[in-house]
Amino acid sequence: MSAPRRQRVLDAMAAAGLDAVVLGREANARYVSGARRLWLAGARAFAPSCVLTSGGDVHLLSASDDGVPADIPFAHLYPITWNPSKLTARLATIPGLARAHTIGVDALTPTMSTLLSLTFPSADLADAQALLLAARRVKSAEEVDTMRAAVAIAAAALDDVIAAAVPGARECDLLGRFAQQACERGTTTPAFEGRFGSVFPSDRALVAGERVVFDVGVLVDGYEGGLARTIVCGDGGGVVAPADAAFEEVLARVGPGVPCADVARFADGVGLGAEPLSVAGGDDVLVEGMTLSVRVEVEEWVRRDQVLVTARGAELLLGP
Amino acid sequence: MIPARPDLARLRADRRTKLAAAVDRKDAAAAVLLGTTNVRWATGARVVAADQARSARRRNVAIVVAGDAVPHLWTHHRDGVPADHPDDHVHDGLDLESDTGAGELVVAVESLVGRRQARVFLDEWTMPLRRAWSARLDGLVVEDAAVHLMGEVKLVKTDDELACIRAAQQLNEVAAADVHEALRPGLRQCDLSGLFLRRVFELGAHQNTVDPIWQVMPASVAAGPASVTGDVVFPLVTTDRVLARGDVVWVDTGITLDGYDSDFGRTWIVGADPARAQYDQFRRWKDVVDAVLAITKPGVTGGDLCRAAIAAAGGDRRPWLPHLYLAHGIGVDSAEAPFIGTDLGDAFDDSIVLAPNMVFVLEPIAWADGTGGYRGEEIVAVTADGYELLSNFHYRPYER
Repeated sequence: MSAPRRQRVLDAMAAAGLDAVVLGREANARYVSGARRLWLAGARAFAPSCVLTSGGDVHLLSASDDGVPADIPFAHLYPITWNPSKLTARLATIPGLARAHTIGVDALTPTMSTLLSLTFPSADLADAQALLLAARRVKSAEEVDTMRAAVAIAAAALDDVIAAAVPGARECDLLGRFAQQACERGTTTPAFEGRFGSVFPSDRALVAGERVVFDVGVLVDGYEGGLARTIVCGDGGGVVAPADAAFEEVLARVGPGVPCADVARFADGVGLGAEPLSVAGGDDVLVEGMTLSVRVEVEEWVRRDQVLVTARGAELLLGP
Repeated sequence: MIPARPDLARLRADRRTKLAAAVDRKDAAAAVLLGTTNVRWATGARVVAADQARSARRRNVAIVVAGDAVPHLWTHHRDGVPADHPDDHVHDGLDLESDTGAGELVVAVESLVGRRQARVFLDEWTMPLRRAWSARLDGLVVEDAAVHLMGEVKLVKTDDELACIRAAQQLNEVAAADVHEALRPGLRQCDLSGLFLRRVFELGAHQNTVDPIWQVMPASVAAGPASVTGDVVFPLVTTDRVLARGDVVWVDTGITLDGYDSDFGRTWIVGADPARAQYDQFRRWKDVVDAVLAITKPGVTGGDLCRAAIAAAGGDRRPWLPHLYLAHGIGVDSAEAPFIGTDLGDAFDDSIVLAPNMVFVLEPIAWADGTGGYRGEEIVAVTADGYELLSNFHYRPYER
């Protein structure tokens, strides 16, 4: 999966005149390298963890070859260091980086900005994040299949949780149940810790007759699969949710060529985790092969599903 | 004296006072904080735990302005704002991955700081923020908030912070004990994760912080994944690998409660008791821990701890993962200053002087091919005349 993805980035780099990109965002590093690395919660500050040169060489922060695709040479792996001068010295040995005139980065810190400028004094630092997001926007069939697998796990785990969401069940128990269900289905990494009634699930017990919103997401090989559903606690699930009709209505408005601004109220990008809907500003349009998260809320009934933009419109990633 | 339960309002007030004083002392006009844990420390506000991409788009942002001890907070999660945070200092969340959101933050910085030459601390830039910042705020001298501000205010904990770390660790340990009880051949690594995560949420954890690690250790370094440093590789990412009788498993987990992290590390054996050589590995690890603890008190340096660890291990090698450290701090970050025994060198370690209410996670290892080695972690709070352990977990099956 990573070779064609990497080629997309290389094409975009050539078009933008970037000689190399230095990436700190995990989704970008994964897109370029295919490497599986440790999941951590939260937004971490920028640190150079993956380098791609215009010649196609990938260099990766990794202590071993575990989880690293075979097309990345072992000599291109570098271990973590606490010593900034060791890090920059290692980066300076990468030929495509040492000679670069323009280096793209996907984020920065004041310290890393200074270090990179000192290490590569003749290079300009450019925005690689916008470039990566644009390259990542249209998904390959393989990427879409991975997202279908992620959606299927999230949906199956949520089905189990909904069956257990009876009066007296605590929100935090449902969150725990979802996490265990997802793990038993083979993925231990969440896209986010979901909503189970409250946005921050607590030890509050559900009461009969209350409306309960569930919003969940997992990652499979870094790709997000998620959904949101709403139930009435204790009613046996027979009610037609008012959000469903509204959902069908907005879904019919999704298709290639539709201005992003027209769907921004109910749709967002999704892929290697959260992605922006629009990458090119005001007149950006939806294109075939994009994947979206579509969400409607009607009188506090929430429904969310992930869809693929096809020539015919929007196709649900959740199978029947 | 560590209180039995943290007083969270007092804890937040103490942190605000400390941060405001540091901003004043350093003659800065403001501190602009984007980093998940920096904002958490400054405000106490929660965010929904998520992977890096979503966390970046839906991050909290805090600005501390000189002369105003209450941080301004921009948040997508109003439910996560402490009740005592004044409403006029809470604003709608910004998406700093977009030019629009970045532009709004820059306008806010300008209106709070004014158009003038001034020093401002900032911990990180998104690319849109960097663009908007350089277009409009070129009078500001930016210094790295992570390096020059947050590290030092986080370094010495209040008693409430120590109580938070201990509570997070206790929760983690209860869940880990349940996983250890359930450990048996035929389970997969991901099943252990499922059991662990279910328990930590049932017990009230605010989030899980790291994909739990249950690494099956190789028979030898050579038999394991190819190692970039030549040392035993750790940590490896959890998969659906099936555990077999006799597997030696290095466990490493971390959760967050009231903003503070736990860090649990132990070595388990699947369905078997340790052989003599394996027990010896545990003893070697324990000897290192005991030697470090024996000298732990205010005034002792990080270098002293390293030398004590090396001496206890026989004097010929550093008994920890050389690309990591002998010990690291813990607080709102699962690994924060002080970092002791890193590749920054002996002089750096000697510059770290222990003081009361500093806290560190001691994580030496013992390794010999053919045994699976031993790795464990202990959380150590420095007291006025010694130390107090914030971790408290058994060493089964190595010790009953």
